[in-house]
Amino acid sequence: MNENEKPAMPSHAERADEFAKLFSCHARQIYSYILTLVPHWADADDIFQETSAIIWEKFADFKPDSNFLAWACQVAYYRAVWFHQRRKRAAITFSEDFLRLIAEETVSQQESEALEARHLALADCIRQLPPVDRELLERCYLPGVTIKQAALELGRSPDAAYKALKRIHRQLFDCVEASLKNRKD
Amino acid sequence: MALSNQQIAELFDLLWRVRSETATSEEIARLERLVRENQSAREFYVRYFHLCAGLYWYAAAREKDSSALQSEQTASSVSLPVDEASLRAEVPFSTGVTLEFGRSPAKPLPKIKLDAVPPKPVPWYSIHSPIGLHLVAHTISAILLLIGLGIASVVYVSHDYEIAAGQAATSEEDSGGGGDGLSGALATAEKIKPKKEEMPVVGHISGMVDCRWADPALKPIVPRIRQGTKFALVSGLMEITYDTGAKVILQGPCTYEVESPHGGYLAFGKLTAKVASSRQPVASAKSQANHKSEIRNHKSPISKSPNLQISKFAVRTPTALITDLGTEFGVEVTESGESQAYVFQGRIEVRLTGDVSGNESRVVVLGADQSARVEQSSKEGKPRVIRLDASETATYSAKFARRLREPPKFLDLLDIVAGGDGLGNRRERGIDPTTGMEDPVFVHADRGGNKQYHLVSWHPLIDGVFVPDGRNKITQLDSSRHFFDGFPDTCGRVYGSIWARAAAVKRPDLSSLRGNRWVWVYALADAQRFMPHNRGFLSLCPNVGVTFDLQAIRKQYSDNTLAFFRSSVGLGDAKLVIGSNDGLADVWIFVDGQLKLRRTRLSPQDGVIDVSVELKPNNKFLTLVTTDGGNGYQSDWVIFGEPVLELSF
Repeated sequence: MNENEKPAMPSHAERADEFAKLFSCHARQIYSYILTLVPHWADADDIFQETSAIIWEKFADFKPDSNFLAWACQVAYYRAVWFHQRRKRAAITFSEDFLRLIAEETVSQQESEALEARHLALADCIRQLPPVDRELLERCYLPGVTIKQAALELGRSPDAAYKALKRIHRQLFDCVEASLKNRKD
Repeated sequence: MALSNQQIAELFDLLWRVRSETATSEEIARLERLVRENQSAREFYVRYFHLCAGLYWYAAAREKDSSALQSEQTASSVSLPVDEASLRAEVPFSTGVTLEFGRSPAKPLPKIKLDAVPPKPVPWYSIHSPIGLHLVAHTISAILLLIGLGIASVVYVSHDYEIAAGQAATSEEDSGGGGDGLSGALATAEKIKPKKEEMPVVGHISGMVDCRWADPALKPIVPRIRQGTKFALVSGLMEITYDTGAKVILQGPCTYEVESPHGGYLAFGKLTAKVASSRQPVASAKSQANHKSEIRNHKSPISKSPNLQISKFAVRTPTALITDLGTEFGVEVTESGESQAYVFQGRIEVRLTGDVSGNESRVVVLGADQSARVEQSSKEGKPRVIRLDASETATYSAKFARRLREPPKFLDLLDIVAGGDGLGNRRERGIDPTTGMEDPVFVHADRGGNKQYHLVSWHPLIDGVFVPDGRNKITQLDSSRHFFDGFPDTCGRVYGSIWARAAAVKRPDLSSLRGNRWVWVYALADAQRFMPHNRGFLSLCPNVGVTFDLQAIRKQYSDNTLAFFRSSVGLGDAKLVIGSNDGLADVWIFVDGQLKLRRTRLSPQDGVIDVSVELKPNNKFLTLVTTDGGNGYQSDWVIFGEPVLELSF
């Protein structure tokens, strides 16, 4: 190719492949980022979808050598702020400067800590749970399953399941933190 | 500062409540304060939600594995090993023709097809946009789930209840035993437990102003509203938006129950109902009869008859049934139980509760500005409907709140450019005119256009941006593909951001800036003449075009009509700052691709020009453009002072 010639524009299929690759690499980080700003999973799912659609729509503007995650998180941030603005008139919600603070903190943790390591530590911690706790956790986090349903299936009272789940949550949090600390040490 | 054990315990509790949407405003405020004041709390917060995300992701991956395994094996009680693969699971894409975003972590998401032509420039909420398709897909899915499976509502209802019940249990654990705290919390949980678990979501709370509740336990904690939900307001206003589109404003003191997807029971107090006639298909006589029969019987379960999907909106009171015939109306129930209705627009029917006779003393149809009261007949001792004359209703309408807040007189385009909804006072943010992405700081740099129209997808009220240049022959002005071929040749480049500058800003230390580049937007010496009300200005240094989405704005402020675009326009005088006086620029304003205003070769000496462009109800886009006057963009400090969209009602 003559050096004065412009490189051929990637085809639509190539762009789609490139997008899919980038998106699949960063989907968990984007979702985690959104969940820090919109803590309820159903709302976070909606914003995740909206963000996905917007970044695909705008993918033509994305420069291949720039930071895809930062770009996607910026889009997600504005969707989250917009969500809270709409919701502000109806219900209690976070203030915008708080969201900005959290967004900055999340980005800094994305940079300083590998989310991958955190998730691997989580897998390890789940493995260490007693079978009865693991079963409860797996049942309760299944899509569309409530704590009450899971409790009934396991022959436990909803109250007991709720208490146990809260305890497991904290146990996992402590376990992940300890595991990451040990790795650093 | 490291967190104490006590702080960690408190954070865990607050985050759990936030996550399950049961946190009160005080708890939210407390969490915000803790996180603001302590870096460790901030880190804790983020890590906690990383954990939640990990668990959702883990569960979704496990379910996928489980489903795959179940299709291969007959045994139903397989205990899957926990492995890292579950957490390594990537979004299950099939690259190429169709990209499946997914599964979001906890539920399946609709597909987005990438095999279409490059994205069409349509608003994000449009049915033609990927998100619009998502919304439609979601709606259809929800309907199928509710009607076909009857599952979704059970899930949500149960969940709400068990959150409260669970909190009660947690309270017990945390307080070291039972006692009043536990019983109180359990009582709270019991109170919010729906009577019937199959009650569907029929609407949401779309606004609240200064609400005080008769029973704190009945204070709503989530915006969605299920059939059967009761509200008891002591004071304040609360707006309910039904999924059918009907809106009801409750005016405290009042007691109201959402009885069906198409109405409710006003036991006491005042409400205003607004039902868009176009959104309510005409119901058959049979379906209306069914609905009336159903709504009359307060205790009866709600029919799942499809006929009810097209029923008219109705408000039941102790003595009357007020049925909407496509209108806006107010209803009042006094302490003595008398009901009175007033029509603002359209027509309603007021019928004595239980009446099927059609007797005129028991049924009245009212038109605009008419009112009727249900009262005891002194002669017969029976209730009857009395039409009130004009003198009796002259001041009655003023008793009803028709809006939650006084409507705004204008929408601030500076606030919109800075990321807001037009009602706030945001400033000091902007847009990159060459990509449409947000500029969080004023970018004092030269950027080139690429002849493309760029959608501003992150902001629903801004359609897009572009860099005009006559050398391109035609320039796209908006996402509806209106084009213009009359722009002069320009240098095709732009300097700086589309910027919403605040009226009062601390001028930056210009000497610290790179080279000789002036941040003109802050260096201006004569900005004040463009903003007599101190509201700031929009800087549009050529060559720039920005298009606002009037339809999206109307959709957001449906009670208002966009009447005019108003602003002052002119060039800041560079001579006062840097000695150069070659500022020369052109200003263009378009509505739906039609040129409404053109001022060519505008210079600082032309002073401040007041601009007013009338907007029609069917107008979709407002486009502001500047070009460089043929001599490059140097010193072309174009200012739109205090730009607003003026509203009428």
